[in-house]
Parts: sequence; structure tokens; C-alpha cells
Amino acid sequence: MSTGKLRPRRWLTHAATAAAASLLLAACGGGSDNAEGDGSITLRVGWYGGDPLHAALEEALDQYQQDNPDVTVEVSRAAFADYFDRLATETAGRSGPDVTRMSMSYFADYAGRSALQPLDDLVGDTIVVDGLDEDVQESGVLNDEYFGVPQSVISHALLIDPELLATLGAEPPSPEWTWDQYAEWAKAIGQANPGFYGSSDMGGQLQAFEVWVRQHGSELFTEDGTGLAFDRSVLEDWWTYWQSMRDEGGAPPADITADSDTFETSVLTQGLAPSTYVFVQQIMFFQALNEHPLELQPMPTTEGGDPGQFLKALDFWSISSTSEHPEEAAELIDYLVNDPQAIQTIGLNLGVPPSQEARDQLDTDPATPEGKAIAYVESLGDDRVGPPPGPWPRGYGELLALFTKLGEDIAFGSTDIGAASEQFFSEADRVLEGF
Amino acid sequence: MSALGELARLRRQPAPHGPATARSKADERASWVFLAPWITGLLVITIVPMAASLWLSFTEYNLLQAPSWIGLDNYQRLFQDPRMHNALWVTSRYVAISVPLQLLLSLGLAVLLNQGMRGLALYRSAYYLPSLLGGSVAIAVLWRQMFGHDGLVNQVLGFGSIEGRSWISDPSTALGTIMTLNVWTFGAPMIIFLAGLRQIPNMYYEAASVDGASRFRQFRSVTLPLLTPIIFFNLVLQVIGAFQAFTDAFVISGGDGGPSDSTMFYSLYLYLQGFRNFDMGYAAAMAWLLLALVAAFTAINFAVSKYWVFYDD
Repeated sequence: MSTGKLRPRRWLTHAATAAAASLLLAACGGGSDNAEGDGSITLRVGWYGGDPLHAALEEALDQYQQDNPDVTVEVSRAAFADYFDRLATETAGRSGPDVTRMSMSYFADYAGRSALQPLDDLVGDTIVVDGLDEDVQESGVLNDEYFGVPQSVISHALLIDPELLATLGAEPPSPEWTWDQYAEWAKAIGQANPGFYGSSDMGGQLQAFEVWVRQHGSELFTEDGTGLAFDRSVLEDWWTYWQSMRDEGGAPPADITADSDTFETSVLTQGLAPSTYVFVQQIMFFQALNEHPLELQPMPTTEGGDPGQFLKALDFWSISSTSEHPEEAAELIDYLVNDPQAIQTIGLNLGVPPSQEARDQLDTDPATPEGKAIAYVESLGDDRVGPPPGPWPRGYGELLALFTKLGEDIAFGSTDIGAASEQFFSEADRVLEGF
Repeated sequence: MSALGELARLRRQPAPHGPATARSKADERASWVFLAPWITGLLVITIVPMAASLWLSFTEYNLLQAPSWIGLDNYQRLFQDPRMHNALWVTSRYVAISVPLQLLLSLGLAVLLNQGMRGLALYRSAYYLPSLLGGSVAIAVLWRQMFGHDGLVNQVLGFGSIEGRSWISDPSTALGTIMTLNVWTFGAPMIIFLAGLRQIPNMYYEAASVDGASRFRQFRSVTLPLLTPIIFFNLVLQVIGAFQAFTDAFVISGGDGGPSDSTMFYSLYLYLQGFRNFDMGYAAAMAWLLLALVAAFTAINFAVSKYWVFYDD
């Protein structure tokens, strides 16, 4: 009788303990557990980008799984900012994807904090990188260790809408122009066509400013990545240049620029300005939204200045340091960058391929945006392109957002150029942490 | 064994001695077992993370490496960070303007709906609808479209697409659009007001009308005083909620609190520091400051309530 009474309680105790324990386990666990015994494994692959990239990469990964039946691929994909919010959380929970797309904006943050696996033992062996362009070979190296396999070769460009220019009664800008000539041309367009502007406002764009800085004889960051390498006057000149562009109709007022931070709402897509600053592969995203054929040309120069642009990889394939299958992850990366079928499937969705062989294989029509992007990259000579800068230091992402915010402060008139540049330099001191 | 059987057995038992003490111990154990799921939840979801957050606020923690103790540095930085001060200022304005407006609107509508009109249930549901939707990402996206450059608001106002302004990309109006969204989600306080209005005994109104009080006088002298506990309750809840506002600003500003930090709410800045700038220690310190601020405002609310809240016991 007494055992009869106790039994339910004991049962309850056990059940409740088990429930509590499983809750705790669920909270602590969550790591991938893929050792299935029969040699088959699961690889998680994550990337940021838009819909065309999602479709292309998923197709390439499907092909890979067909060729490698013992590998199952799970994908994790999102737009850029969302992807990095997620990646930070996953990495903190030691459950980052095995293979991740990594941007130079966060490269040092992750690689410099041991969140990425050094690939030195795999590169050149499992991952073939022989055909890479010279300029991008060192792009994925941080502190003499190899952390990222380049996905693309990138440079800055002006994206031009010649038909809109014709409507506005202006000639296309010459590739030889200096910034002053560019401003004169842009202001003339704005003044002759009320409601239109010659150029987008680049004042808040740190990456366009990098070209300007290099033309003025220095890099953005000191060699150890703990500070800014240029003079405050260089920054103040940049902001003054764009202030005068806005004041005299060369660039749109602040509220239009604030509204134009996506491909869809950009002043070029909206038909408000015939010229905007881009990274070369973005011609494809813009062209998809625009009926007019668009053209690429180099950034303006500074008279007597150094070449400002560079060719470099800014996006990589990397392996999380917590990956349980680095060897298999490396094989997958090798497939994505070297397999002719994968190169064909991905096309230019990740950017211009960083090897001559891949570009030749794609054999793009020069009249398509893909063909224009490749032709543009191949056309840039030493007069335009200097040696590529080192990696962007830890804290770059935060500085990039601050630069945009200060640019807006100036354009909306809530601060002046002197105060803004002072704030940028003092914040950079705190934010930049080297490599 | 049924509960009734258990009772019967208890009655049969002699006065509690040794074995009975063992029983009550067993009962106590059973009560802990039944509490276990709740306690587990409290510990795992609330207490432990809060303790961890308090500890993290004294560390430098970049999410990817182990935290390192830096004492009060994060709290010191709170006093020197101009963007944090701006975020606090934006949030304070949001609380100070949108909460009273929302309470006024919801009270007004509750009084209207309480007039015993036909189809009340329909109106009540219709007015409550925005509150169900308002906190969602979808509505924030819709709001962004409505107040954008080519948005519905500009089309209604008749601006051309070139001459028009974008309400969300102008620092002087961006915060206003988010306040409007918050005021629009007045459903929850309205329902509570309606319930409160129903509780006021009819005899007060009868007595007042016998004395010749106008309807406005009745509202001022009967409804309002008797409703003050409800107003107080709504005020406390809405102030606490508004201090933590996040979703609307995150979506409408595209995640960066722009333009020019004009919609950089406190929780948004906290989120960006923690998850985008790898500064979770600082974010934790911000969270504890926010907790202190909300607690202080609530305490002030309670202290001041003595002077204006009327309890009809």
C-alpha cells in the first residue's frame, strides 16, 4: 500500500527532473552533431547577398551534393546586415556555419579574434589558389595567416546612365577628369535641370573617401591598424567638396540622399542623377532595375596625385574555427572557386571572378553588365590602381557607419565640418583595435 | 488514489506524530517538484541571464572571445558617449510626447465607444486591430512605405515625386512618424479604459444629473476621478513600454537609427553596440542603466500618484 502511494510521487519527481534537465541541455547544446557513423556529414554554408546570389549558390551546392552523396549541405542566407547580426550571435554560441562568406568589413573582427580557422595547411593543397590575380593573392591574409579565399576582384567605379545624360543635355564625364572637373560638370547639370543633380552624394561614403585619401598620398589606416593615417585636413577637404556640390546643385540635398541607400531607391535608379559611385560588380544589381544601359568608368583623379583605386578581394570564403569538418569544408570551398561547373553556375553573382581562367571560361558578352564589369576590371592600369591596401582593421564596421552618420549630420546642418572631423578622429582612436 | 480517498484516510489517522512529519516533508518535496518547471524557467530564462548581464557590464566582451574584467569603464563611457546621450534624448522625447497622446486618444475613444451605441463590438474590434498589428515588422515596413518619398502620405498631400519630401529621411520629421505609429496602436489602453468606464456605478451619474450637472461636468467630476487608477495603470505600462521601443525604429530607419541618428532609440543603439560593433559589455551596461531609468520613472510615477489618483473604496 505504502509503495503504491509513493510510486506516483517518485515518478513525478523523476519526470520533473528529466524535464528540467532536458531544458537545461537544450539551452546549453545546440552544436552540430553530425558524426553519423556511416561517413556522411552535414556542412552548414552561410552567405549574405540578394536573391540572384541565393539562387545561384543553392544550385551550385545542389550539384555538389549530387557529386558528393555523403555530404549534406544546410544553408543560412540573409541580407548583409542581417547576416552579420546572426553570424555574431551564432559564433558567440560556438555554432557558426562551417563555411561562411566573410566581408572585409568584418574580416579582422572575426579572423583577429580566432573565430575563423587559419587555412595555411589547406590552401595550395585542398584549396587550389594558383590562378588568382596577383592583386588579390594576399587579400585574405591577416597577421601572416591565411583566413579567407578570395571570391572576387573588386575596384571602385562611377556608374553612368548615358541616356539620362542625353536627356539632361550633358556629355558623359571623361575618364581623365579630376575631382574639380567632375564637380564643375555635375553642378552645371544640376543648375540647368532643376530637380536633377549631376552626381550622387559620396560625402558619407568611407569607401569612396578611401580613393580620395590614397590620391592624397596616404592610406586610410596606419600599418598596425590602430589609427587613421591621413591628416584631418584631407577629410575636411572631402566634406567641403561635397558641401559645395550640394549647395550648388551638383549633388542632391541631404533628405534625398538619406532616402537613397538601397539599389532600388538610389538616385541613379530613380533617374535623379546620371552618375553614382559603386563597386564594380554592382552594375549588375543596378542594371536589373534600369531600362537604360549603364556604363562603368574610373573614379575622378586628383591633379598630381597618386593612383587612388585598387584591385582587391573584399569578400571571402572562410571556415569557422568551431567547424568539426574543416577538411570537407575546404573541399567545398575549392569546388566553389575552381570547379568549372560551379564557376558557370555562380557567374558574376559573387562579383568579378578573381582569376583569368574563370573570366575566360565565362566568356561573357561585352554588351552585358557582366561583360562590362569584367572589361572594366581588366582595363584598369597602373595609372589608376595603386598597390592594394592591407586588411581593414577591427572596428572598421563601426567606423563605416559613423562616417555615414557624420556625413548626414553635416548635410542636414546639425554639425559643422570641423566638429565632425574632430569626432571622427577621436572615435577612430577608440574604435580601431588593429588586427 | 483519489483525493477524496486521501481525505478520508487523513481523517482516520491519529494526531500527527513522527510518521506525519515525514508526510509533511514529503508534501513539501512534492510542492517543490510541482514548482520545478516554473523555477527552472525563472532561473534559465530570467535570473541567470540577468546575473550574467550584470557581470558582463563590468567586462569587455566582444562576443567572440572570453570577457575580460574592466571594472566601471563601461559605465564611465556612458557619461562620455555623445551618441548614447543623443539616443537617450530621442527616447525621452518619444516617451514624453507619444505616451500622453496615446493615452488621450485611447481615453477619448473609450468614452465615445461607451455611449452604448449599436455595433459596439465591431467598432471595438476595429479600433483594437492596429494594436495587434502595430508592434509587428510588417506594419513598420508599411509605415516606411507610407511616409517614404513616393509614399501614400505624399501622394495624398499632392506633392510631386521630385519636389516632395521624405518624412522618414528628414531628421526633423523621422521621429514624428514613429511617434504617430505608436499613438496609432492605442487599442490596449483603450480596452482597459473601456473596462474601467463600465465599472463606474450608474448611480453617480443619476445623482449628478438630478443635481443638474452637464455631461461635461459629469465627465470631469465623476468619470475622470473614478478613472484615475486606470489612467495611472495605463500610464505606468506605456511609459515602461515606450522606453524599450525598438522594432519600429529598427525597421523604419533600415536598422541604423538614421538619418543622422534622429531615430536612434536607446534600445536600438544598445542592439547595434552589442551585436554589430562587438561591444556586448557596453551594451550590458546600457541595459542596466535603462533598467535603473525605467525603475526611477516608475517610482516617480508611484510617488506622484498619491496626489492625483483617487481610489474609491
